[in-house]
Formats: sequence, structure tokens, C-alpha cells
Amino acid sequence: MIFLVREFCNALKQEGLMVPTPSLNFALEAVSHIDPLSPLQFRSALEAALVQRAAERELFEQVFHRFFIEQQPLVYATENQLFKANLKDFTQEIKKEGTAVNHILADYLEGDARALLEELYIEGVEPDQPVPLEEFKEQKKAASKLNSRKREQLRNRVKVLIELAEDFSARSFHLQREKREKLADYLRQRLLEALEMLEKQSQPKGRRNLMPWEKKRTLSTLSFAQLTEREAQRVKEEVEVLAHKLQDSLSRKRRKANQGHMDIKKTLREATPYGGIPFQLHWKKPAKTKGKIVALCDISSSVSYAAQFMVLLLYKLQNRFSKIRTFVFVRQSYEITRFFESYPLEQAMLRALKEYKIGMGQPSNYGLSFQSFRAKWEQILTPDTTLLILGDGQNNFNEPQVEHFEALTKKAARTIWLNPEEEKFWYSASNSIRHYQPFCDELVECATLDQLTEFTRSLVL
Amino acid sequence: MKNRVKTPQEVKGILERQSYIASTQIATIVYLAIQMQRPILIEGPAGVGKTELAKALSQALAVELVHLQCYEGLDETKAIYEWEYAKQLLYTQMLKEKINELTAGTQDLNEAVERIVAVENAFFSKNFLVARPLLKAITLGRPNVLLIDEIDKADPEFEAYLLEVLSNYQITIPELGTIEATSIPLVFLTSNNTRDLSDALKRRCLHLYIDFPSNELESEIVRKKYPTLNKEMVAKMVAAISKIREMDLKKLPSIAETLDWAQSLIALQSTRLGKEELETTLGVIAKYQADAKQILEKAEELLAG
Ligand SMILES: Nc1ncnc2c1ncn2[C@@H]1O[C@H](COP(=O)(O)OP(=O)(O)O)[C@@H](O)[C@H]1O
Ligand SMILES: [Mg+2]
Repeated sequence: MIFLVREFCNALKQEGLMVPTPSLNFALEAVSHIDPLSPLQFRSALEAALVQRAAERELFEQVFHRFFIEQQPLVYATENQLFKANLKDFTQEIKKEGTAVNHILADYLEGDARALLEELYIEGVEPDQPVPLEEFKEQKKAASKLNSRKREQLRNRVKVLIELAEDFSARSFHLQREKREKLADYLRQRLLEALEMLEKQSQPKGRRNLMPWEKKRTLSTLSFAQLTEREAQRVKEEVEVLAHKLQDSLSRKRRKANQGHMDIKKTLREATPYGGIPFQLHWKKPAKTKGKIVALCDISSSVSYAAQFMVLLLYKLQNRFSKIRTFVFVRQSYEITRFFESYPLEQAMLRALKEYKIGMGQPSNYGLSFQSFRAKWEQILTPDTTLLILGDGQNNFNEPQVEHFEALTKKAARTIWLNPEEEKFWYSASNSIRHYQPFCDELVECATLDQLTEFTRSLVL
Repeated sequence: MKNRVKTPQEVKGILERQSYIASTQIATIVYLAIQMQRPILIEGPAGVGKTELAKALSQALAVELVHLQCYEGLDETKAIYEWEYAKQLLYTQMLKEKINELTAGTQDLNEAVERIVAVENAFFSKNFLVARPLLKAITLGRPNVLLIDEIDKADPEFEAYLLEVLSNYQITIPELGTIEATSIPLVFLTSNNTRDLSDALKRRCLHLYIDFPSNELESEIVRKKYPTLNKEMVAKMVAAISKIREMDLKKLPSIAETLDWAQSLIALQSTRLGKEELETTLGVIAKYQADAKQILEKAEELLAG
């Protein structure tokens, strides 16, 4: 639903209505209180939050009608024929199987939700025609019995389709990556919303006020790229909690460290040839601080959240390292360490961006960025340095200039590449990660909070 | 107040018990205002029930209504607080001797003034403070509905005060310091759109535009108020009124006029609504001579099936 409201706001913006971010959040809060399956309540909530002048009401109504009633999603209005064609390909594929359920869902994906809504017994309510409550309840009860089997079928089908859709859009190689993602996004969101509606209907009454889509968007497993601003704020808080926890276990570990403890891995590894019986116990040396960190982050807009979270985390744990130096790049590398030393995260980022006039919206160029980094800072990479690269490797068909990257990795003790993009997108034509990969000690997917947590643990513990 | 109502439907129900018929839109937005603790800004033509909504809701929730009627020149002393000058004066008289004692032995006027200044706090205490609606609503200590009626009539400067109060729910009185809210009122602002309000104020509010009602809704309102009127008559009245609202008149009749009309027809003991009845009661619907003339010319069309 967040997706839907956001897209709707985009549609309003396209028509010239101002929707500043606070208004969007206001709208999201408002719809969280009402029954989203009541079209009138839903519209009222959005209108109350988004329309600030009487003169804008008419425009709002038009866009609302187009977007929610006629179900012409924004993508239809703005995307090219190719997108439509691909959507059509997918729905054709679904329809081939021929069951009625598939046809309903195919229509729904193409923007015609009538059949699905009918299944759900959501009818276009006449404005302000009060249906006696009892009668309404009765109708609903009868309807739900009649359809519970079919609905179950629909539900299962939607779940399968979600997976099919992922496959389908990942396979649409003739599309640009951006377009492909849009298609995947669109299909997934539409299907998830269908699923929500289906599940909501079979839920017991008492849960009306819960936002099912909130539940589904589990922050820890949600890709950074999909976060809304509000969620990003919450992830940031989570990151701080995480830093605290890690600090805690670190200091506990340090207290213990005087005693030293058994290196299980090493002991077992050596025991294997002897049938697993450990002949010799290995003891770990007391933990010391790890060496220097040099972090080099891609901050082109598609991955900027991931960079922010990682940098935040590093600085929260800075006592673990002898030194942290932070660099950012889009087409050039810039050192931003000193900003973090004097300002909190957001301010530091903003100041750095402003001072260096870095345009986050530009397409990134990894080759140039590594080259410029090497020219200026190669000498800071020492044998106790961990070089952390954070980026999706999206090089937009630029020259990867591998030799510079290779030289850097040779100077550092180890090179770890964190990729905030899901693995299945790593090897597209415009992406250079496959050129850099051989020189990395590790290449890790780091698209969610869970993954970031796991990685950080392994780095500092 | 959050727990008093659980759904927009319920809001509709409790308002109806106060004889206020709310559309789903109205009920939803009122519900949201309660849940989100946000002010509602209600706009719309005169007489569509903006003021009445706040009143009916306060009764429905069984809480006090604090009413601030805005007008040109409304200032803090009428909206927020005022020192009770007469009472201060009276006390000064009564405490004359004390004051004499205090200033006894001073060498000159300056010294005397200084001594009095040192104790002036006594006269700027809550004892001499009259709380006007804004201060009253936030210090009442129990939930209440604060109705700031026809905000567009107040001067733009007043909006600045209001915004401050609505953002922090506290009021600073230079002589006393900051007074924190002991209750967060449910705030209704109404406006007839005679001028644009500031963006900052608008951004804080949920917006509710009440337009002329649909025929169904208006019939319900009339029947609720005048249950003795027969159904056909009400339907005919309401249909005529809605057609009149499409005409190019100086002043369009609103719900208030429809209700007055119903009352006149009852007073006349009319059992039907024909051209004759329309003519006798026309003054209730049309406030201007020119409007009345136009309406009468179209009488047949207006009263047709
Ligand atoms: N929805 C409604 N239900 C019942 N009565 C209404 C309704 N709307 C308006 N009225 C009646 O119309 C009259 C005018 O309403 P009022 O609140 O004074 O209008 P406004 O403040 O919008 O100018 C009131 O006396 C009220 O009784
Ligand atoms: Mg009024």
C-alpha cells in the first residue's frame, strides 16, 4: 500500500499538484487508520491529507479516479510501449494455462481489477447510500462462504505468480536494467497488494486496524533500495541499536580475552584427518583492535542508503579500528572523513556533497573513480588496511579500468566488496563487477539490514 | 478521545444521535482527526454545517465545546488571555496601605518605583489572568473540542499565534512564563474562503471540504429535523433546492435555507408543494429580490417530477 500511495502521489505531481514529502507521510499515516477496502474512506483520507486548496480538489478527483477506479497505474502513463509490451507478454503467458483464476489475475495485472474485486465482494459503493449494517454483514457472510474455496485458489495462485514474475522480469534481458527493475517492481507490488486484499478478507474482524503491508515489509529483510524515507529513518535507528549490541559483545569479549579461548575452527580442521578427535587444542590470541579501514562508497542515488548505513555503522564502531577513512564517489573519489569527525551522519553527508558539489543523480563511473582514488590516495593503503568497497558495480558501460583497482587491492591487506544489489543483477552487460571480482577477497551481497548485520559481525568480532 | 470511537462508521452513528447527518467523507475525516490528534480545517459555502459539525461532535463525545469566533481585529486579548485590569486596580486600592508601607522612607520616585517593581509579580499572577478560548482549551485539564470559527475573518497575523499554539500546545505569557497544555483539544477550524490561509497552517491540518449535500443526504437531514413532513414532499423540496443551486444566483440556498423552508411549509400546513406554495415561502429561500424573481420564472421546471 505504501507503494500504491507513493505512486499515486507521483501521479498527482505529474499533474502539477504539489506533494511535499511531509504530505506524503501524512497521507500514509492517514490511510493507516482507516479501512483501505472502503473506497470512500480511502479517498477521504488521501484527500484530507493531500489537498490543501479547494481549487485542487477537482484535479485530485480526476487523478484519483484514473488511478484507483479505472486502475490506470502511473507506469501506463509514463512508460513506453516496450514496458506495456512486456507486461502483456507476461499476462499472455499466464493466460495460456487457461484457468479462470489466471485470467482474473492477468486482467488485474494489466490494470483491470474488476473481476478480482468481484471475487472479493468489494463493490463500487454508491457514495453515501447507507446500507443497513445488519444487511451488510449478512451479505458479506454469505459471500465469504461461497467463495472461500475459490479465494484460497486465488491466494495460492498469486503466491506462485509472485515467483514467476520475478523470474520473468529477470529474464527480460532486452530491457535496460532500470526498466527491468521497474517491471519487476510493478509486478511484485501489484501481486502483493492482491495478496493483501485476499488475506485481509479472510482475517478475523478484530484486526481491521492493522496495516497488513507494514507487516510484510519486514525492515530487516527489505532491500535498501526499496525503503521509503520513513523506513530509512527506522533502519537508521536499527543500525544504531546494532552498533550498541556489537559494542556490548565486543567489550564482553575483551574482558574474556585475557583468558583467551579455544579456536574451534582450527581445532576441528586439524582434527578431521583423525576422525574428528581433537588431538590438539588451539587457543585464540586475545582480541586486539583490527587495523585500518578505508571505505570507498558509491553514492549514486540508487545505492546511497546502503552507503549511509554502512558508514554510520563504521563510525559507531570506530574504536574497533585504528583508523577509518571514508571516501565517496560517483564519477570521482572524494575523501569525506573529516566531515564525519565533526558532524552527525546526515549533516556530514550533506556538507560533503555540498562542498564537493557531488551530483548523486549522475550515472556512476567506477573506472574513473578508482583511477582518481589511486592517483591521490594509493599510499594510504598499508598492510594492515581493510579496503571496503560499497557499490553495485553499475558502471553504465564505462571502461572498468581494472588495472587501477588491481593495484589498490595489492596494496591493501584484504579487499571486501559489499554489494547492495541482489545477486541476480550483478552480471548484466552494463555492470562491471565481474571484472573486479577476481581481485576481491570477498564479494558479499549486502542489500538488507540482516545482511549488513551479518557482515559487520564478521568484520569486527 | 482516541478510544471513544473505533471506526468512521461509529462516528457517523454518534453524530446522527445528535441529529447531525454526516457523509462517509465527513465521518472518516473526523475519525482521522481524533486518531491522529490533528486539527481539521473545514471549508465550504456558508450554511453547509461546518460550525454545526464541531458542536454536534462535542455533544456526541460528551465533552466541552470551547468556541472562538473570529472577526477582523481579533487580538490575543480576546483569543488567548488578558490581564484583568479592573481586578488589578481593585486590589491595588485594597492594598493601598501595604503599598504605602513598601514605599515608606524612599528618597525619590525612582526608588519607590523600584520597590514596587520588585513585587509586581503579585499582580501578574494567575489570579488576575482571564483565559480566553485558546488558553482555556489547552488548560482545561480534560478533553474538549476547540472550535475556531471563520478563521478567514481574522487578520493574517493572528494565524501566526494560532500556528504556534497548535504546533506546541503551549502558550508563553511573558509575566508568567510558559504554560504547558494539560489537555490536547480536538481542533476544528472553519473558513468561508474569503482569503487564503497560510501554507504553514494548512500543512498542519486535515482538510475537509463540505459541499452542498447530495439529495439523499439532504433529505435525511430534513427528515431527521422534521419527521412529520411526508416523504414525497421532502423529496420534491430537496430536488427543487438542488436545481436552484445550479442557477446563477447572488446567493445559493444552503442547508439552513432548506430547513427554514421546511419549517415554513409546516407552518402553512401545506400538504403539497406547488407554484403557489413556492411563491408564499420564497423569501425563505431567496435573500435577494433578483434571485427570487429568477426562481419564480423557473418554478415549473423546478417543481417538475
Ligand atoms: N449534516 C447536517 N445534519 C444536520 N443539520 C445540518 C447539517 N448540515 C447543516 N445543518 C444545519 O444547517 C444549519 C447551518 O449550519 P452551520 O453549521 O451554521 O453552517 P456553516 O457553519 O457551514 O455556515 C445548522 O443550523 C444545522 O442545523
Ligand atoms: Mg459557521
